[in-house]
Amino acid sequence: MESTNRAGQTPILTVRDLKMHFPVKNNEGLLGGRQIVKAVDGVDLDLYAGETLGLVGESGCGKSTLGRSIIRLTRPTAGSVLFQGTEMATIGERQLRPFRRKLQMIFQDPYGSLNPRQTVGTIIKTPLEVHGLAKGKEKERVQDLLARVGLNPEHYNRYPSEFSGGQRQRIGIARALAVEPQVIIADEPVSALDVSIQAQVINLLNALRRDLGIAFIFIAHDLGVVRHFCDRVAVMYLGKIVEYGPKHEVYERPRHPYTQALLSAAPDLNVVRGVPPKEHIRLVGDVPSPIDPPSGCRFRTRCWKAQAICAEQEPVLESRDDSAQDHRIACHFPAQLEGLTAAV
Amino acid sequence: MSAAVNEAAHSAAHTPAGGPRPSRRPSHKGQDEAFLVVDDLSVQFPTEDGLVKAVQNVSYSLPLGRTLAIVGESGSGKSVSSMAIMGLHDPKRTIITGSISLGGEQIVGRSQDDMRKIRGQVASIIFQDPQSSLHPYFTVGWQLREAYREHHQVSKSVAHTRAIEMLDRVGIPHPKRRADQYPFEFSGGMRQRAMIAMALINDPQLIIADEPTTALDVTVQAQILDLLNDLQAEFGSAIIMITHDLAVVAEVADDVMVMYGGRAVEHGTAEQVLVRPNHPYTWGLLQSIPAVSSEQAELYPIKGNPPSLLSLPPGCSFAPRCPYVDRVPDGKCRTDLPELISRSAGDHGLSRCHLSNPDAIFAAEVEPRIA
Amino acid sequence: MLVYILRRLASAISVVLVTIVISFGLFFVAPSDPAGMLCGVKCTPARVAEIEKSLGLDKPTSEQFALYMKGLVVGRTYESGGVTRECPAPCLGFSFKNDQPVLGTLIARLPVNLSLVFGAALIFLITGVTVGSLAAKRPGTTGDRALVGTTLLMSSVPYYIIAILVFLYLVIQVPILPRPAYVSPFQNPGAWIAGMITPWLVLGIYSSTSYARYSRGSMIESLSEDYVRTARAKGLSDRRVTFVHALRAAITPVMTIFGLDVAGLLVSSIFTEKIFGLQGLGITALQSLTNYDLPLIMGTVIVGAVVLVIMNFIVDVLYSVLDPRVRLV
Repeated sequence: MESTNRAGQTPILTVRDLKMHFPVKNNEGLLGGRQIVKAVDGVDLDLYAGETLGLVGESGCGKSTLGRSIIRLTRPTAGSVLFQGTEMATIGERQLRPFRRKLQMIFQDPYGSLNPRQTVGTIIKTPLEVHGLAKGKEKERVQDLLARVGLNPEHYNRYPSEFSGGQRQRIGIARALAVEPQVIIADEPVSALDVSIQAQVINLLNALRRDLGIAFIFIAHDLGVVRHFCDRVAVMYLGKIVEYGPKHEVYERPRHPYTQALLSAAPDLNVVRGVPPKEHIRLVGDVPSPIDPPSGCRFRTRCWKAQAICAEQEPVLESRDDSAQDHRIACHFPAQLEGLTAAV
Repeated sequence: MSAAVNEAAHSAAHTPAGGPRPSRRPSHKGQDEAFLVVDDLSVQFPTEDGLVKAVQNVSYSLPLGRTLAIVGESGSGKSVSSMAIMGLHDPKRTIITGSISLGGEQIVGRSQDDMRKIRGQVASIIFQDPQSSLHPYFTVGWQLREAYREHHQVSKSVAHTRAIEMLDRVGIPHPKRRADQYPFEFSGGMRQRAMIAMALINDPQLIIADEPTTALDVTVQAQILDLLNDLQAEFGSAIIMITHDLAVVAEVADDVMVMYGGRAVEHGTAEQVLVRPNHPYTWGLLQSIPAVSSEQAELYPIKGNPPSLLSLPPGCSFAPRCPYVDRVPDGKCRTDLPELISRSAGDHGLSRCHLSNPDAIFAAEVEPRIA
Repeated sequence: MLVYILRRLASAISVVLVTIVISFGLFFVAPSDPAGMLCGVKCTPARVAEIEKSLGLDKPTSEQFALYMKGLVVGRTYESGGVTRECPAPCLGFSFKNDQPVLGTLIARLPVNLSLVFGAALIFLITGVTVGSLAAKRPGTTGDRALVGTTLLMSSVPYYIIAILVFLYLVIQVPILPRPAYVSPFQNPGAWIAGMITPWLVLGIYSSTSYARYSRGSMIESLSEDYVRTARAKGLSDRRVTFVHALRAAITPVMTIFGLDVAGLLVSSIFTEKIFGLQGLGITALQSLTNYDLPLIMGTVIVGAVVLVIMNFIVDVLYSVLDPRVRLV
């Protein structure tokens, strides 16, 4: 699949057939055997400069692992990650250095990801020193960054414990911004925060994207937050992308049964405002084990449309004749658009 | 204060029966008669740093068959008041004043032995994280049996049959086999179902669900909320749903109480509170939440951080973060605590705010941002 | 389960094997001279050579090791001075010092340690866990602080000092406690208890302080668990919440330490044996070392390794009973 659409733009980040498999020990056999958890199992993604791509899915679908292997926190088992055309999935740690500056990560836990024994100034200054940036002007740069994320620049000498959860997340963001990244991978950046604080952080991220042109891969389980923040959305299930497209397509014309189920399960504030409640699709059973995923389509064990072919043949993630060009679905029986196409 | 108390205590009783989705609320006998009446409840924890005023002067009432959602952020006191109903606070480290009446019986000040008879039988609680709330070393069946036998003089086998029946009722497949398994052999959703089965095994009239779906995935969350709704229709229990998620509130609640800094700031039916709210904090929450079913161009967060329960501001607790303080004359918001009363004509709930024309402000300035 | 046992057995045997090789090797690397020791002061080199020959020490180390292993597995025949002696498997040889069969000596000594462990462990486990659990319920209170203080005091005084003091003052000077001696419980249970009660109390109470500390920590942790809150929300009594729900989880890590402690005491409790004059395995091991008595050294090492491996296995099985998440597949 060539990555050329979006008005001839070339993506800043191209992910092809990315796999991340983890061996796990089990107790079978005399010496104990090994099994493979296929956490991410063949993912294609494109990220364009300045855009936001949402990764959604339930726990265990591999969205966080995908984010971590793109940024090389873990070395992917197979596949390719091109940053502006340069392969970074397979190169060594030393060659990876310059890329570390271009891609940064923000974590969910604003408590666990900051060293409690370092002042905020040191935390933000460290990446500057590592990459030899703002030499001689580190303090000014740190204070600029603190102001940029909405913290008091005079507080650079304080410790993380003196800040609230939302403020700590801002510190994490300032640290990521220090090296002027072009891509930020944000793994559930607001899900540990209270509602009122969550909106503050989302607005901050929005401002960064608008003012600095940073592209985001935004990993979240909150479908409302993703709808608000992202341009495009990829829905993951058991290590694979099952639906991928512009957010208005995915949210308003979901074609994959799993996406439909996911959206219908999300509680909706609008129901009390007289918006008719959507059709309730309730999935039965649990997500199967990623050690031994179902053959063919991985969703088939919980899908109400499944037929023989779903077990035999794995559906390809592709755009359909009647779908928008960049709306891709991996399903043998995607939902028909019923008159929607006629209306267009 | 007493005016607010009376208003609040009655509010649930004179709300229109049925709530926003009458189809989901078949009427039950005694619908109008409050089963739980909480009146002027305050819960305080003396600590080395000072007195933590976790809950102050909270009043509400709840009839059987109805769901009250208590909404708030961390530190708002939303869980603390319900723990008081269960008598789960350490009496040596907690000061509880006010009254809680459960089915006509006064609870505050009762001995631990008396409370034991209420816990698990009259009132049950479902906790947030089913992974940590079930004992890892006992089988699920053992834990359910224990809950039943604590309140019923029956043999182990009778209790076991009852446990299996409950597991079946909450939708756990193969309940017989499952009863002999340990919690770690259950998925997250199944664990929460088991937790619900255990909470309901003695047919309690009041179920307190403390963030019951926060630790769960969205598809599982929907299953669990459906289940609670079905069980309520079947057994007619009163439910207190404690949550931070307004979307969950919209889906399940009849009545809503919004808490901030240990006090109720808004209280009414789900429709009143979520569609025609009168308090700037509720407005702020609604403007902070991106909906799934519609696109919002902009979020309008509440500035600043929640107050410390050790040192609440003298007037309205929300005043330091409220964008409307200047609309109230004489800086009253910073000096006088507003009462929780009905503020405007029309179908609105009670709110704790000095603004004289909240509905006009909401219609003109807030609603356009969230619609 | 069978696969698990086989796997455990394989690893157990290899642990014992490695222990044998290392101790055998260390003995020969060290400047030891058992023949010279036996020969005494007025000794001629010819006599030493003769003794070495009779003990088999003239042969290359590897051959000696092979013979030793053969004896362990299939038994062995000893010839010295025209006398042949059969030593059936598992043959640990004959003592250089007194020519007694090593296995027999060790088996004769084992009941002393078994008795000692049985009584002391009962005391320190029960007292320690009870006191620790009670203290954990109200951390910071006077009783709890007293417990923490006592355990700190106890652990800063060496065990042998306390044992000697008890022996001197409570057995010899003011005879409150009976004089320790080992009598088989099968011959005279009363005398067995009377003979063992002093070491039981001393070892049991001394060790119980550290058990109180382990279980206190473990209980404080488990009392704050969500499932303990669930148990209270079910309406269970305080006692049931503490001693069934919280203790069940808290006891698991304590059992691991317990298993290792018991294994250690079974093999050797030198201070207790020496101070109270009991002929146990610890004393035997000490004597064998001072005498360069290779067969006896090897024997105590092997018995020690085997006991440790067995206790480890028991702890694992116990663990899987206590914690269902640890499954012995």
